[in-house]
Amino acid sequence: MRKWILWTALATVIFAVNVHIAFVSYIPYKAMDIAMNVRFKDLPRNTMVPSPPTTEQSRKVVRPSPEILYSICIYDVTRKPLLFTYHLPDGYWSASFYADNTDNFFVINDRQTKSKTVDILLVGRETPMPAAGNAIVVRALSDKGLALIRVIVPDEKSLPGLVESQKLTTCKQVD
Amino acid sequence: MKKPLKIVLAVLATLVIGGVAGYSTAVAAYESMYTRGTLRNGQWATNLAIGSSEASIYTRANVALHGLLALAKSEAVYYQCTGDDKGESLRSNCDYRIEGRGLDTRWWSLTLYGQDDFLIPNEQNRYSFNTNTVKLNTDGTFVIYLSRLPREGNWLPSAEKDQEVSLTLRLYNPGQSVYDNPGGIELPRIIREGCK
Repeated sequence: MRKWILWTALATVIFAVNVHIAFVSYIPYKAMDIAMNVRFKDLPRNTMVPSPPTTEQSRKVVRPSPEILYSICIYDVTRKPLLFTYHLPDGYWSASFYADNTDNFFVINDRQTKSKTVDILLVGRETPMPAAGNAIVVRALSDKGLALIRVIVPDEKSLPGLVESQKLTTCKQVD
Repeated sequence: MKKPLKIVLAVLATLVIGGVAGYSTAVAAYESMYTRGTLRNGQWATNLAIGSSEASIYTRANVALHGLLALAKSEAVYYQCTGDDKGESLRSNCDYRIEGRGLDTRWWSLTLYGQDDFLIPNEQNRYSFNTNTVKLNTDGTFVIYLSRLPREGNWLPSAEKDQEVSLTLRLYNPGQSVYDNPGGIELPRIIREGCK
């Protein structure tokens, strides 16, 4: 009887540890999946979409920053690389890439670029490296993920110009 | 007890007790802000592994739920605060004075969030103060008032509905002192003035 209880207790502990690790490890993937496929389900894939200025109505992603103007691109580089062409406004700007496990695997800001136009070629994990020209080549950590642009809005006066500049950035699939 | 019944009971006990224990300890672990790698600085907490592959599974889960799409430390450092300088939870029915001075960073912002991790509606559409918007005293310090009722100066409106609130301090392109001593740099103090 005692042996039976000991074996059951041991199995319970082992099962609990596995549930614990599996559940915690699963959350980042699930959160990204919900962001990409539920919250942003209406967004076209592989297209940079400017978001409106952040307000109390912005409820797609938790803890949004009200001073930041975001643009978002849900990428899928399984088949073809994606070429991002950024047009930088004056002031703070950054482009960041997130894998399906939430890792921010690449980020660049306006102080790290040499000109007001930047090309970034995002390549899938297994995709052969294409000719990149002057583009910065980034190997994606996962074939599906999310790219963001952040622009700081220093004051309300600057907002219309920054909103216009948001529209200039593009991303397109290349062979 | 017959052997088959014993086995069924053992499997059931393992699944139910193990499942509940595994799930509840998982939630407790990732909901704690002070997971592995998290540094305290007064009332503030930060984790420089956020966004990187070095983040623990608990940090990653916490960020996925409460700060999805956070930037890696090379670009921004985030500090979270859920309590005042006495360690009491920040609540919307209390008034607070947030005292600070310029930070070693290209740009900073201090944002208030409701219990649901979203911005709190208010007539002023004011959710934060930052490098550009905060009014400084002549000595370079600032005071931000977090309260429901309007205050002179830097007033950050709190939630009308009673709830716990929290603050995020974002440092974009922080200076070297932040990386060298994230737990020791001078950050704003949150002092409770009173509750209603």
